[in-house]
Amino acid sequence: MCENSPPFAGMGYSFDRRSLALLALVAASGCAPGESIAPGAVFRDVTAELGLSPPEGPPPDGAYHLPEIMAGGVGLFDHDLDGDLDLLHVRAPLPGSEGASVSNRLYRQEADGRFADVTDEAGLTEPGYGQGMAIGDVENDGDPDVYIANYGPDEFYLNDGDGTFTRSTGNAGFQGSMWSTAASFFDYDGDGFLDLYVTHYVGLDPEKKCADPRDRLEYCGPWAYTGRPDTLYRNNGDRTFKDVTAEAGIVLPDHGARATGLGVLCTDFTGDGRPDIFVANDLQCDNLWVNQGDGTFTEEGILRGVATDEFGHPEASMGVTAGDADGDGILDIFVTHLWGEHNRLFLGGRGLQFDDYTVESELARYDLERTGWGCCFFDFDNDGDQDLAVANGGVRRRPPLAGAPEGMWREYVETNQLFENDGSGRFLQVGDKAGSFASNLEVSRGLAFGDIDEDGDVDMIVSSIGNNLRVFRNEAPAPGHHWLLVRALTKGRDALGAQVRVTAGDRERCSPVLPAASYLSSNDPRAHFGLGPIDAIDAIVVLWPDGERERFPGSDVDRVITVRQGEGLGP
Amino acid sequence: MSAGGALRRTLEAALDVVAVLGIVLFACRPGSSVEVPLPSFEDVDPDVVRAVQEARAAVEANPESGTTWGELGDRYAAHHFLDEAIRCYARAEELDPKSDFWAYRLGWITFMNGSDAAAVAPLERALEIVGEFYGPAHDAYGQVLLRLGRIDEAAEQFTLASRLDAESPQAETGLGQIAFERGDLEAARAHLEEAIARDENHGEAHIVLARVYHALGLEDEAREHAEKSRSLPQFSDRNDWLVNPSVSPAGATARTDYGMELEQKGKFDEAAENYRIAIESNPRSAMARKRLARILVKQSRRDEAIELLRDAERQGVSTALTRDYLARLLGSKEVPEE
Repeated sequence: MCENSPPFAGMGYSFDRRSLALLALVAASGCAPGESIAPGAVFRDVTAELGLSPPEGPPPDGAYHLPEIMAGGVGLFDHDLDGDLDLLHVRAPLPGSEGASVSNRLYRQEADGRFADVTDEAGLTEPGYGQGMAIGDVENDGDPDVYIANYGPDEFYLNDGDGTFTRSTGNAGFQGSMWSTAASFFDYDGDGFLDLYVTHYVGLDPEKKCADPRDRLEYCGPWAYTGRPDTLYRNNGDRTFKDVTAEAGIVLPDHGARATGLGVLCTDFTGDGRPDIFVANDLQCDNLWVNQGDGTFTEEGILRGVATDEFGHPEASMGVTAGDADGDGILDIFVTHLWGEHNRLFLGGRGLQFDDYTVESELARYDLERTGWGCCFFDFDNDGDQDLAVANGGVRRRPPLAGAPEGMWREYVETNQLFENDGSGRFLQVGDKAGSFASNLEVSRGLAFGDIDEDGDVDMIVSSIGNNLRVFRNEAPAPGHHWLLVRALTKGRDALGAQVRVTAGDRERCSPVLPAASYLSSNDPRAHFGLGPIDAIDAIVVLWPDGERERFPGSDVDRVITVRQGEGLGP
Repeated sequence: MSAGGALRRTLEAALDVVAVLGIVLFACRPGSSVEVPLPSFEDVDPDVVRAVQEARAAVEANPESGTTWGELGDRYAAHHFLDEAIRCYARAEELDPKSDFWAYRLGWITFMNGSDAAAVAPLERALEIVGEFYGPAHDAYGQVLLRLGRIDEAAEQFTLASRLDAESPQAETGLGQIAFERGDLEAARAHLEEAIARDENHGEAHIVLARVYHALGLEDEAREHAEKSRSLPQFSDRNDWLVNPSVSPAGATARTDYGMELEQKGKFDEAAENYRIAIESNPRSAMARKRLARILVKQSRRDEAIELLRDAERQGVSTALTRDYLARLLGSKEVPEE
């Protein structure tokens, strides 16, 4: 080793590359315990390759106007029915700008996989202060319609079936100008038409200024304002909707003063076959509205253990997702939170309550230093268990991270996180292998997932402050790992809220049809299953949103299967 | 390869390891740097900068004093320079190892800064010094252990804390949470009912008790406690520290700390103003209420003090601290000369 020109040879001992490597190993192990590092990145930033514009630098400085750091969502759906996923980006005026509204962007995926901006020709042009979205076919005509949640009046577009949309906000009966955030279509009353749940954040006083403990201007939190109650719209079946919030019992004792909703999930969490509503509230108790089957809901978040941390303490909930973390066939809920709090994993049980599994899942080791927003359960390596991705970004100044860009956002940027499930519901943070998804320093918010390139593995799109987008292509080497994509249709449309179970041997895997999840975003509506070495499945079982259970025959794998309600083998 | 060559290589390898360990130990040695932490003051309010600089000057004038380092840590902590505060407390503890206070502050601020595991050692050192005397320290340690999933140890700490501080609801809440976690619903109910008996407005106790009653199948009781929790103030003091420091112009905790500093300097009017801001931003700031009431009593404005504390009761934000002081002012207890 002395041949390597030891820099410290004169000090009586040598100090070569091997020692430096050892030192680096010690340092690395001290800095990032438990990180899984493997050669070959799983996710590669392909934004530019796909014809989209990657961020050219940090966003413009903000003006401490709260909505500018809350936007905006990303959605993946096939708007023109050509069989591939298109991209909707809900946008807000740039930080610090005087503008009150901007246009959203719809990108059509072309045959070569690149995206083309078709906003104008599609007619999704109404400008707004965009936040989130809901995507679903409200008239059962086979094409997805779009609801845009805004800071300001929301917008609704009916899909004309030819790749264009007709703005129908007023005709549909959507009114009000509360600050809307997340939204989800689902059929709560079992009449076959998709209803709509919209969360609202706070009643903003734009003149109110907040400061941090050093008396510097800082973004106000929700505590500075009064919350706003959410809205439930019932689909009348004739392209119109009615606000049924009160008659459905979606009423909190304080009339929504503590409802600061940012995330929503609509599916059956109680095992009775009826879709419930989980709402993530910022700094307040989260809500679980349990469907009573008679058109009303009762709030049971506290009783069922999903409203707070394990100490009974409300946290700053932002993004939400549902999946089967522990592989027991029952949906679990994951909620992202502010720095200093844990992102929280609640395991669903067959009993009355959820079980806070945050510490046992090992997730508690990784998240206190970040503020989580968009999130998703998906099997990135198709090994048969559901992994987890989280988009992060600050809301208040923190000591800058190494490599942070200059300017105002220096103290807000964070890295995203990818976690690999060991198959038992324990998660290990993926290090270098996560690629640029987990190394970019940005103020990320939205996160949507789907098989964009139709190769059987799940890709991701992340939005960040400043209307920036990044597309991450999944390039995970998964030799011998199989997969299945299930499209579940009812009434000729995606069966939002359904739960799809795939059985093979003695194992059952569960994945929801739940595009409205994450933060302000909308995912590929197909249920994705990584199968590992399994090369054939025994059966597909769908729990439809109306409570019906239907079994479909098994099949081979590595393909997309479409199942339609009423065409199965029976219960 | 000759035997001498092998020996030489072995020695070189050993030296490598020793060198690396030396470097690592040098880098990680506690309190090795006496450099006074100096964060960026870009855009920071001049009054805050001045306050911090005063404390820094005291350290530079007396760098071997644990007290000056600890007080600088307090100043940094009050204004959320948490990394700097942690370094100062570490140095204070190094210089003043017989004091439990700096180790306790170091552990608690580390915990509040999101480093659960790192908070354990300093809290253990503090408890080693203080022994079984100060309930809140055991309670704080119990909370850290609970977050780390060390349930049995947390239960020991909460049991001790509850015995040492018979008025504190926090330890009983912790014991209730642990019993619930263990599936001992009756024990959980007993502890949480006790917590609520100690403080009927303890939101966390109501929330966990609601879950306990739900698990027991007692739905009416479950919903009663869930509703009660919703009627209570939105944020606890912990949230105030962690995520609610920014209500204009500063957070309740920081304002209360700053008010206490001003009191020590005899600036009672300015202190009172800071307490008022603290109460406005967090009506549940019991310490701010009590300190403001004390100043009002000093200023012969006893009626205003009573009204301030009664207002806490009307708003449902009274605590044992404010109720006790109100009782003293109303004559059922002696008001201590302060």
